[in-house]
Amino acid sequence: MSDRPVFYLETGRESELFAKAWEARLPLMLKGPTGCGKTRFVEYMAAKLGRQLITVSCNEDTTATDLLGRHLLIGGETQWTDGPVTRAVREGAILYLDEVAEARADAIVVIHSLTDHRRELFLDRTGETLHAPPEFMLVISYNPGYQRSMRELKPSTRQRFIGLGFGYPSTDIETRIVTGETEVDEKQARALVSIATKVRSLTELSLLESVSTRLLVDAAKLIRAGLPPRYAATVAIAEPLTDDPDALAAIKQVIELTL
Amino acid sequence: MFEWEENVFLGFRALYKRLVESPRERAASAVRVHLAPRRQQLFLLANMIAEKPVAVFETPNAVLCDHERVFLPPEFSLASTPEANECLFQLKTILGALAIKTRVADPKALLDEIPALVGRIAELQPFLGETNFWQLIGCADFSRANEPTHSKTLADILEAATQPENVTEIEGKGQTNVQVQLGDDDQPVEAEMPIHTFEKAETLEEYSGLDRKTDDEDELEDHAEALNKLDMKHVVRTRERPRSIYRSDIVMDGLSLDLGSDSPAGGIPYPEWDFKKQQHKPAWCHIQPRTQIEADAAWAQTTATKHRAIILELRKKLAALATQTQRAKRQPHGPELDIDAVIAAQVAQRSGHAPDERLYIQRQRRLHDVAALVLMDQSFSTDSWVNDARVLDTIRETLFCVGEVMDEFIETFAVAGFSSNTRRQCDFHLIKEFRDPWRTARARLGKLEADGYTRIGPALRHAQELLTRQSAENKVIFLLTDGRPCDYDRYEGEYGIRDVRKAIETGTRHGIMTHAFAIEQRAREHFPRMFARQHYDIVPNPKALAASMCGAFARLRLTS
Repeated sequence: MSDRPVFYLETGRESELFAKAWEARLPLMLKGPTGCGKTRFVEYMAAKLGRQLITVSCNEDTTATDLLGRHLLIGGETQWTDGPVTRAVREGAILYLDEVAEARADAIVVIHSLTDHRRELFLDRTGETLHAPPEFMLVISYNPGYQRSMRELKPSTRQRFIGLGFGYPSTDIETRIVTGETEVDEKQARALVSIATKVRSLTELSLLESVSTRLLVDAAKLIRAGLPPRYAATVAIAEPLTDDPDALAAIKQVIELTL
Repeated sequence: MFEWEENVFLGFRALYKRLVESPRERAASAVRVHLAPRRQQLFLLANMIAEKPVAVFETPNAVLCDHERVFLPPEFSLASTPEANECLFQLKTILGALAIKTRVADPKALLDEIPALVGRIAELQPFLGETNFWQLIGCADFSRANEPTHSKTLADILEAATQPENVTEIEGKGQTNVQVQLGDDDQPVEAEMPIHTFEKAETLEEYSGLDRKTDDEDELEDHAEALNKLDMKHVVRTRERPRSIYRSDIVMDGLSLDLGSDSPAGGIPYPEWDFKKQQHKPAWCHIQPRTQIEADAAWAQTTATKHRAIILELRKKLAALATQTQRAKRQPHGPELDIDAVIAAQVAQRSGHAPDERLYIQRQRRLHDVAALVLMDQSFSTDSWVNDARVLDTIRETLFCVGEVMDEFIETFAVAGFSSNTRRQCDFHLIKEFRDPWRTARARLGKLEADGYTRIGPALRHAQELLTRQSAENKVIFLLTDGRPCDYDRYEGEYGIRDVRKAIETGTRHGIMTHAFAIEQRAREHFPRMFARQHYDIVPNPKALAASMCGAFARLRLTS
């Protein structure tokens, strides 16, 4: 955790919702495309509520053992080591499972008992049952979308969470985010956001990955560091998105028209 | 009858061409820039600028756009340098897309949207000579910016009903503002009366043509040049067999061909998705299942010999895949130790419990427990030629090769073709049922012929229905098509695309994956909208098609 306060700009009533969910001990699911600010939001809220944040980035090899903990053999003795989920429950932290849909089914099932009224975690290896303290909160994120229909969350899992949909912020707010993060001047921030809006209309046709707010901020940082704006936008927005020469040429056209 | 006059005319025509047109032509060809190589780029650009789905439509008419398409000419050669002509393409695309976005026709208003354009147009004007930029890109005619039109390929209409034999086919220019009339098929063609029309038609624009005898000889090549000058204001839909095919994209005005209830329905009813109402139309389409039994053993033999190399290569690829594996932990046997299981067993043992003996990681075959259904488009559009081969031949030969190897590696698979003629007549030809042996089914591919239109939705739904009756863990549909959903009772454009998408989503929810293939590069504009990424392939030639079908197996995320 850095000393600098986390920069986050509200787009709706999400921080109010988060705080209320935390008070009511409800688990929360954040949905939204990559780079739209889900992780940043959780960091911001953890700081605001003064809780420790434990983040797990899930992938397809993430197993229940990875989450709960395992015995290690040390000098002929076995010793139990807590996994991140167990640690979060013990310490009453905010547990954030990023891209949870990527994890294997058995890994997702172990958190089920944490999500309902029981709020407990059963460790079959040690025979221990942990009760989550009131400060504990479970937050998961996943990236829905037409492109990734293979990795859906099962209804039995998703219906245990209240859902908060994240989209890309509106033009004005995104402009303020870009200026807030990088101190680039407003006109340039607005131009960057306008490029993003145009590229995102291709995303709707599923012709292209989307431009994240994160990439816009990167572009603005490069501009701020003194690179020519068009060049900065090309390397930070166009090139990371695609290798297709036609798409690259088209995006560069848009950049030239806008910056 | 008019032979010598015609010859004299052709002689003068050739002379004129050599003396006047050719020098002009030479000058133009030095600076000419074609649409084809930059079409995809301009298509993407248009979609970004408009910030909504926009199509690119090729037509020589100087019109900027309608409510959802930017019209671009096949080439620009008017400006004095290639760079300036290239720039014309870009500017017309940008302005067309802007007009679609803002629904405003006025040049000034468009320039306000993107001020950077003012400078660009000013830079371009000196290269255009006398020609006015705005007139050139068709920004004057904006009456049509908001009215919906229907698009369909003229070939679909010309190709109705029967297969042509010995036909010439040429690719024509795109046309806008076309009206379609239903031809009177029953009326016998009477001997032509010589009609004298020269007095009435003073200009080519005024001349709206007259009915010609429709069973002409195949003289298309001789008249190709004349046809390209043709403005198609009216076309006729008829069931007659064409002798020549003139293929061209058209935009139709006020076309309404919804069906009444005149023909008997029958068949298996399936719903169709209406994206405008966001609901299914229940029992809208009727699948007519047929089982094909005629076979052509000689064709099978020839094809097997002709493509032996491809089949061998595919076999090698699939064999490699079939042995490729996925890790499964805590198995009773396996080549690797599962470290977590070992530790758990240690713990159990030391604490006096019986240890679990499943200590290994097993590698399971990937192509395990799969049921696949290969669905091929046999509509008339597959009767056209890509890279000197008839698309239908390519498709069925590819299918033959893939079937040869699938038979060895996949327990259950079926092969079917589909075509349609309105929603009441959606034919589904089962070529190989799941239980049919491939050896007997493969020769049936040889008897396959092109027929009707491409209504993809009901065919997909029926294929899904057949697959749900299979017990395999993993179910997949392979769809081979030219990528444009189309049927002549308004199954086209956005409507068709959304219906296909809906059908696929429904399938995915029931655990049936769909993977699509096309050979035509033009499919790049429709495919991404219908199929999830990584769930389609567009390939340049048949050989690549077979390879990419096998590659699709590799990308299946199987659950076993």
